[in-house]
Amino acid sequence: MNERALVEVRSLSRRFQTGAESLEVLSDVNLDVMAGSTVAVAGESGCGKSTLLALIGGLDRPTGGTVFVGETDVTRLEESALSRYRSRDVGFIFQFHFLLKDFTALENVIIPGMLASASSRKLRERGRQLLAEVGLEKRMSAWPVELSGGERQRVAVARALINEPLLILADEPTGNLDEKNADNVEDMLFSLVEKHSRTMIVVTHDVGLARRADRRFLLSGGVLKDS
Amino acid sequence: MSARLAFFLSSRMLRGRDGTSRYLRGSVLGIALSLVPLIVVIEVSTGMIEGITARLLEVGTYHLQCSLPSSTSTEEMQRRAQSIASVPGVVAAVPERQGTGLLVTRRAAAGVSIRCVPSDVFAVDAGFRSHITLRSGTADLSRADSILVSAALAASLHVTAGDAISLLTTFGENLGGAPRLTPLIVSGVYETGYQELDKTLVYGSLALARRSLSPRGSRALIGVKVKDPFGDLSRIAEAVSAAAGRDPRVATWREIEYPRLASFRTTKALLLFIMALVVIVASVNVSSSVLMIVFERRNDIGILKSVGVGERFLSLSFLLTGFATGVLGTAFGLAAGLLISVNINEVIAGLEWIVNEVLRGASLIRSVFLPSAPALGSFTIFNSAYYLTSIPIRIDAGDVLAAGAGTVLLCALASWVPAARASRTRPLSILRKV
Repeated sequence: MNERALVEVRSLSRRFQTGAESLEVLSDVNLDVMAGSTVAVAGESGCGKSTLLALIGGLDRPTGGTVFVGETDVTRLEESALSRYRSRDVGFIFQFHFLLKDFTALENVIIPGMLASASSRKLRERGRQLLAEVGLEKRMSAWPVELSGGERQRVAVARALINEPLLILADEPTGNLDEKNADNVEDMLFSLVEKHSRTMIVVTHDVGLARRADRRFLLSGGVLKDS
Repeated sequence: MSARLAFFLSSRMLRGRDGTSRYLRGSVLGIALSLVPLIVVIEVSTGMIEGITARLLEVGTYHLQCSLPSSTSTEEMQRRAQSIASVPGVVAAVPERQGTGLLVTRRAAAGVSIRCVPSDVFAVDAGFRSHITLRSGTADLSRADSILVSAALAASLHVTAGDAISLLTTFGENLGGAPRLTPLIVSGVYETGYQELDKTLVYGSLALARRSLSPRGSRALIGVKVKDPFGDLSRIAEAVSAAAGRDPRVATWREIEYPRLASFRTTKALLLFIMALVVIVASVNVSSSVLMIVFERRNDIGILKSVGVGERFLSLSFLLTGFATGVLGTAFGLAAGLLISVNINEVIAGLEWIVNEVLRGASLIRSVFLPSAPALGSFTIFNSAYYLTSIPIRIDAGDVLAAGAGTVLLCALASWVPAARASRTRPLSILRKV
């Protein structure tokens, strides 16, 4: 029996128009990601890895093709439905931590949860639990400016998991960290994804990080190849 | 839950740790400062108009005036006044003869309007009694040679209570008539507080009217006071007209004072419009502040959108920020405006004192270098010669609330454009630029 993939990317293309110039970053990309698996997309800087992730995560619209996540074609969603999709079904982790500077570590983690219908008490409890899982049980009330780079990225990981999304999308999650912190965050990210049975697509140019994924792809010249 | 998130985001923008809230603090101050003159104008103009209207009604025009043929005798006027007094809703009916003359003393002379009223007018007409303040002497008009002179007139004629004075009028059946000089005694000096009334009005008895005012050169009327002068007076005017007998012409105070009231209303509306423009400018400042926050927080907007915060809630967050700015500014502005309003006489007196002390000092210094130069004149912000001797303040809760609600609404509306701009921000375009 053929099990259907959680993420099905079909004939995806993205062209950027700058004045008279046209740049095709993605061309006829196809990708299947099974539920509970981890996929790494590697490639040189500027090859379109982040663009692919943004299209799957509903942060950008493709020029052509479809992205199915479960039964939903993300490319056809209206703006409000797209916001709901980003809130409930996807957890983003960016290269830069992208924490809100006016909110504490705990508040940053629970903000996506406030969009869902969870009670405040339960939400805070879950936020505390996730921060404890990433080793920040004593830094919950700290402001982002008081956290180290590695700590901020761990807060970002906890934030990505708060709504128990179907899919974690990680864009160079260790790209801005030193080797030691990068290894710590990498270990923690893969162990949490496994523990919570999440599906993850990670784009990276770090060969070591890519090797830890169940499947690896190489994006080059706008074309995605199995590696 | 999402609305709570909007409140949460908005509150953090107001308290902003990175200094973006400084824009909002400036806007709060701007709104507060713009509201102060609006509130002061509302309260002062309302108090002034009501103060002047009350004096005009009680001392000037009466609530209704029943004009009679000028040839009507005093006895006939009294008889008709008694008849009118029995009309339901009428609280007083005062027969009065009005004329003009010249008050003459050894040192000065002044043209005056003479109002001859019953000697018991203070007992009959409570409104009249409450708006006339005796500065000296008594209000006794029982003698035919008694006269009540306003404080302003008494000052210009250099007389006080008990002094002798002469009234020059024309008396006769023919046009112009013969001059008649009537010796009088100033029984009292009064003040209504409204300088326009005080400048020319003197009161005498109906007996004085018989002696000094010719029927052809004077006006006979019955002044009517009613229970509710601010209600619909048309029905009671009809009843008064019917009770007054032959040839009456009844006019309400609104008809008599229409030009003056229209002028007051227009002036107040213009002043409020100008002050409202200041508030509108301040609310545009709120729009600019929120726009600056949207610009400075574009990364946060991108992050929030990437975690699923929808356009509606982002808009709501910025609208709430503008709204809260308006509420804070309005609260401070209303408090400061009301504080200044209730102390406006002291504030004006204080400002006049400061400026006059500076002028006095400047005069002293100038006299050292230019001994022949005249002293610098005194400075007056509020010339009571044209209005009331002091500014009456009436706090109208409805007006104050309307001004406050309007300001808050303006601030919320002013935040609409930046809020819409924030909601339209594309997350990827922001996150890529970081």
